[in-house]
Amino acid sequence: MKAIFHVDDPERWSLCIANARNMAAFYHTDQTLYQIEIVANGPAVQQLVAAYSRAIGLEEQFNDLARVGVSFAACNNALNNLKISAEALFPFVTVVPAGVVELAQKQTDGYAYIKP
Amino acid sequence: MNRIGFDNERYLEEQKHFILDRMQRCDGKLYLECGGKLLYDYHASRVLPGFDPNVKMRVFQSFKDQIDVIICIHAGDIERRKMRSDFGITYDADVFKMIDDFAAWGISVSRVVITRFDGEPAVLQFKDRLERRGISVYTHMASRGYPNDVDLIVSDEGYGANPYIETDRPVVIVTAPGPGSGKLATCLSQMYHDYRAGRHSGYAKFETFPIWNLPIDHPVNIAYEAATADIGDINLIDHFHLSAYGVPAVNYSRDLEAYPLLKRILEKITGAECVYKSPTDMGVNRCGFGIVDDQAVRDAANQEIIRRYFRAVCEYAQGIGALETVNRSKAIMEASGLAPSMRPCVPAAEQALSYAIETKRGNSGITCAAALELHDGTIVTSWNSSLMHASSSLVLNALKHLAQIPQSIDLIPKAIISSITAMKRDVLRGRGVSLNLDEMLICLAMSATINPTAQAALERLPQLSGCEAHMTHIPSAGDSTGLRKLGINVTSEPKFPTSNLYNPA
Repeated sequence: MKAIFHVDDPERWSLCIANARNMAAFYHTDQTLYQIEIVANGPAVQQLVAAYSRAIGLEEQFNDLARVGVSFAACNNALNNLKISAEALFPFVTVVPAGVVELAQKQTDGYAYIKP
Repeated sequence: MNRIGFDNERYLEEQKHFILDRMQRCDGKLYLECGGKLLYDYHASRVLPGFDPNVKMRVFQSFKDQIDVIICIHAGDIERRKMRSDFGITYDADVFKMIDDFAAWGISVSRVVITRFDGEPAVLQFKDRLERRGISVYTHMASRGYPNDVDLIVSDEGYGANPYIETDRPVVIVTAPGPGSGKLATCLSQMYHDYRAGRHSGYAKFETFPIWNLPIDHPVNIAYEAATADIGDINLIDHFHLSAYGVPAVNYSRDLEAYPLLKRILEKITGAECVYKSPTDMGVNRCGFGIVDDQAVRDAANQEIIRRYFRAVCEYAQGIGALETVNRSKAIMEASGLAPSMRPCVPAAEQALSYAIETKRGNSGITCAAALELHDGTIVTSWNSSLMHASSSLVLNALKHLAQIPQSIDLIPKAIISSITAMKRDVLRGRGVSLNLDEMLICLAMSATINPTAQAALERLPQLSGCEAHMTHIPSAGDSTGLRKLGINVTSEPKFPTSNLYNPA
């Protein structure tokens, strides 16, 4: 099973994390292979900054998801707009050239699109 | 906007050489009475774009090995705890500050004179405090015979009764926290003693405004009238100068009124005809020669005239200014063909307020708006909300514009704002819990440690210095402090945001 979560609103991060956690737990119990990716663009990339996330209490939840194999992608256009360098992000975050291109590509590859 | 109109370095050199030249013309010391501000002269930097607010101190610093400094303070101002409105400190505290300020520029001040001393206990306490810090303090009584009996003034019972203030260097700067501190009497008293001892010292005056060699109706000179509307200084043609030299010069009413008496006193002290044919002659101000773009200076001074009008109406509303000052400021502005709407951020703030009211913005039924004109001419607007004052949002919006960060981005995590507002409401029992500008800036600095976007915005803060802002309501103390620290020239409508009489937030 392959799913791609899309977050562009910082307010949706908590729901997205909960959705991804529940999905991973389900497939883990079900012993089904899964590939889950979370793509952040727009203002939502700020939460992928490690120090920022630590300050607002999301760091452990991101780390937990990464530990169960959930991958993260941050839109490079959004990072540039918000003056965020790749070094400031969690080490497990991949920078993709454009969030929307990543979403389209993954859907072409058979990922289910989910926007919490 | 903010086109440079004044060549600061040219002025610095010109001013330095002129003072030294005047010194060399004295056969002894030159007592240089300094009116106006030696440091932080923001009025001058606003009306003369390019003028360094500390340039006068830089002038002195450039020949500091040739100067001594005497600070004068009127005993009555110590007793009454008179305040400096720009710094919000008393005159006696300002003496300490001035000594520190001079020291920071490498100029030692070790002499203070308390004028018109009459044994006041508070004054004696002040004198002790200074002396324990190694400052020599002199006391001068009120000059006997002043102002009518020149023979008594210039006698051993008049100026002669004052102790002589020993100085070592050829230029003696005589300065004070404010007007009416006895600077002139101190200079003349010193000269009296010098002449008695055979030293032919001289006197000169160093003031920036009005600028004697600009036309009387030049906006820079009119802006000076607007700035002194509370004390009623009026610019006049110096008829003494005109009749002596055939050249018009501008001076202000108080100096022109005082000149005949001063001339008689100087002649009595020196025993010779006064070397100065006019009050303008006594001055050493070379500011007018630093102007390199007259139109830029005119535009800047016109804006200052409008700012002064807003200041007068706000001070009247706050009960710290007189109606006469308002009327005078208004008359000066209108006579110059100016109106509040000619300050671009004023109509922008009014439009922002209308929009905010239409769209039901604001906080607890109170809606305030603000507009800020950036150096590139862009106008940014804001209004208040349950989270922030209008000035806080204004600065954040301006920073986002400068850093090219989308307006929709939150630079401060809502969790931080919520935590602070909860503390203000629940722990500190505050009435106004939204963030004022001072508080917002602290939050932004905290946020910058965890958020690169906030850091990028924070780095743009210095770019707000010298920008123009207008608010639809009188800013709170916290907002005023923040705006002043950022160097934003702010005006406001004379309206209070709430009906509360006590509103420190």
